[in-house]
Amino acid sequence: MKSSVRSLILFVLFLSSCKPLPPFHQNTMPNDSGKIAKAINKISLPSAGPANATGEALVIFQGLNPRTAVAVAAGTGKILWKQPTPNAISRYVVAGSHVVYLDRTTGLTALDVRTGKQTWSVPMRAQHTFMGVSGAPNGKVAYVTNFKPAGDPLNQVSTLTILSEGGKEIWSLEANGRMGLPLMTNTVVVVPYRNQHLVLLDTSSPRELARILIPKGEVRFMTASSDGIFFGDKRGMYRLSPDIVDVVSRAPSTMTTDIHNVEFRYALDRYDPVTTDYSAYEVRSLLATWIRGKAGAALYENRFVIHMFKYFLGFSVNEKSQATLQWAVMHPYTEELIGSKAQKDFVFYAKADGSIECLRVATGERVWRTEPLDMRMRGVTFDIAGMTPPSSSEVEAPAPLLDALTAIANDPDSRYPLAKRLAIDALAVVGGAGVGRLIKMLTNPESSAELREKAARDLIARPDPNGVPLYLSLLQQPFDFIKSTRPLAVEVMATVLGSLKTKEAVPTMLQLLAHPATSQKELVALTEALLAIGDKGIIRPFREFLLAYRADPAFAQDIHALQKMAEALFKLGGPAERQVLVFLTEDERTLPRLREYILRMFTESRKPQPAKP
Amino acid sequence: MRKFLVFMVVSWLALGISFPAAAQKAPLKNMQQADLNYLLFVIQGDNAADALAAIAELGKRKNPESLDMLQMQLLLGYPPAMSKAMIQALGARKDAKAMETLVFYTRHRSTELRVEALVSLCELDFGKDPAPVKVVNEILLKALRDYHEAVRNKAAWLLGKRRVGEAEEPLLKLFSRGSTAAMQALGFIGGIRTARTLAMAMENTKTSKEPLITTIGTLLSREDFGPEPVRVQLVKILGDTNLPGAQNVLMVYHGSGPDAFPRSRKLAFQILSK
Repeated sequence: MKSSVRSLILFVLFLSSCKPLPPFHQNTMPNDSGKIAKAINKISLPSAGPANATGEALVIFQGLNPRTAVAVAAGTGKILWKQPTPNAISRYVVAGSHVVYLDRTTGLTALDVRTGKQTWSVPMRAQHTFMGVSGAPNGKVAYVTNFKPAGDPLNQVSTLTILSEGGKEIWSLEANGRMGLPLMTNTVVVVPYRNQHLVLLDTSSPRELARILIPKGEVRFMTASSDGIFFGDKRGMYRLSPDIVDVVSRAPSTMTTDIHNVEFRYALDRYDPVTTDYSAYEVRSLLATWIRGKAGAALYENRFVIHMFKYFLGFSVNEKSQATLQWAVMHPYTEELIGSKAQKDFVFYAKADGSIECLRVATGERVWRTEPLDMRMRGVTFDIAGMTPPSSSEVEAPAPLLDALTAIANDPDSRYPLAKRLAIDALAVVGGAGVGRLIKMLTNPESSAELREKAARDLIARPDPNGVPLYLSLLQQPFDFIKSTRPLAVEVMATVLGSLKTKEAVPTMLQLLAHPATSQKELVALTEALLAIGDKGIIRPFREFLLAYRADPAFAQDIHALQKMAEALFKLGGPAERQVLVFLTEDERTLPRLREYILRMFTESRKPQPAKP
Repeated sequence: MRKFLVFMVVSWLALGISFPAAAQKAPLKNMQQADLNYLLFVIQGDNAADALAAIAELGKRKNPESLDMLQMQLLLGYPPAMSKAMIQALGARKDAKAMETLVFYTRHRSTELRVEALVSLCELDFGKDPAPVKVVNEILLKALRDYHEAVRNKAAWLLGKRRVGEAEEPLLKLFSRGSTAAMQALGFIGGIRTARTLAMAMENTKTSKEPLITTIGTLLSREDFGPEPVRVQLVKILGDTNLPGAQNVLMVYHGSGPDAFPRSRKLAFQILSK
């Protein structure tokens, strides 16, 4: 009897262990090449045109107050319909014949893409966090919610739900772990899962088609076009292909640039709940059209645009994936940008006033614009695949690159320090900024501190002998309270002239040295520069200065200039100067630190020099 | 007896404490008779008070050696307080030979010393030689552009005192930037442009009127200021001003203004009579 019971238990255990895993399970084995190939074949990529059912390029704005969906014909900028959506708490997503969004009260809500009228709504599950919604051209919708029991992030459960075009639930699956915002196609939904997985599921039935494990990275960004599905993280992008298992073991397609502070945010982060709604992330991205390349993902025409708030920077990429900045465009303070999208040769972007503009990716020219709508907008969704801007006679060329970068760096708008830093770094890399431009940057009162510092660094690093007249002209500006003038950039100019050993600068620099309005820091720079030039003409002014201020308590804290002058007298002077130095050491009124310095100088000079090998 | 002893001890202690102070003051008594070497010894010594007294004594001496010593010490560099005393002593000597040293100190980094140097420079006696006077005036004009207000104010005052006509334009600019010292100086050297500027300033509600009235009074008191129609206008402006200071100025002007301008003085009387 006992043995039969034991056998029965073992049999039940055996049966339970052989039970197949549910359709979406955390332990499903990834990287089955056969399954992946079949799943990819099943994907119907988006067509080269817009995803909405009208077939026309559409731009859906979200009005600010009250929140209103405003559909605009992208080609003309004319309003097609308006629909109040006062409780909208997500971005609008185009799915075939609908525009879908999350409503705070009714849940997931669909508007007719032709009229804007509400067609259906689906309530959200209580206590679930909405992670985003994605639509397919055939009208199917996928959305993900996340549930953390008692706020526990370790045991969170994600739910993926597929709705039909009419809003009926086709299927819904739960899985332990975190899912990101899915990417929906007509036949397959691609779900980022637990950071490193990409799961492909059938949209018609709850069936996992394939799973890909990205061993060295994450799936943060995803985008689809008629050329494929592209995914990746900040390291770069992959193209989903049958050999993806091999591809992901290699480095992704990416670009590098010598410019610091360039953020490679290839798309919205699919795991970040902030991106479910419109936010500042819309205007901090890398704009490019991804296409199929020899090694997977590639950039259309090897170009991309960095969009940072109200600034655009256009790059070209060479065969070594090195990106070079080609142009920069800045918008005035009054213009607030709310979203942008790359479409092959063009970048389309929308402003808060409801107007749409277009830049040519290759040159930065503004080739097209629409009139503002009399509404304040907070966000925008583009459905403009395949769109080219109507030909316009009003083409506006961008400012020369250096001018544009300088303008960005000097922009009095203090909201975007990151963009300014990027522009300053870009100025350093772009180079070619002549002495005149650097001096202008240095002396312009509107220049930011960072820009001035950068210009100073460049001038000191690359002193140009041809710029001497310009350097001297800055130092020769008179100290004049009435005219509000004074010598400009004294420290930098003195350092540059010192490194160039410009003897004709000595009289000007000596005049500055003797002037009472010269600051302590400027004194130090002038002294060091004059010492570097090594002209004997400095001996008398240095001696007079040293004697005049040797006992002045104003120099007690910052004695460097006096010490340097003593050093200069010691090096360049004769017996008379030695006598002066001896007097300084012997007179008790001399500042103690100066006395010590001179004494040390004397002591060290008496030490025997080591023999040269 | 015991009380007497205690009294003696206390007295001795008190005298003992006071003795060093008396000893310190001892050289002061002999400063006037001391030779230059002794004065130099005191200047270079540790006692700042004695050093300052020795410097002042050097300023009182008449012989050229003492002047040379003073200048030499000034150029050797001392703490600002002593340098200031030396500059004042040089000014007291009024000797034109001190000009170069004082010019050097008009460029000193210490504002106080710059101001003292300007003052001392203006005290120097150049006789009938116009060249150094011109140099001093130029230095004062330059000092009007100094970045430190104290120096500008002193230069403005000195230029006004010296009646340097070239200073009118920079002084007007300083006045437009709110300098009261410039305005006061303009009273001594200003011409028609100054009168016009002051008249416009009188219409400005934000400007304090009393210093303006005083300056207009100074202008009116000058014999070289004119012509008569300008004076008449200024008198009218003062007449329209309902301030006691304006009435005082008009009274003084009517009573003791230049005789060459009877019309404006008569107008002042008429205004006061109303």
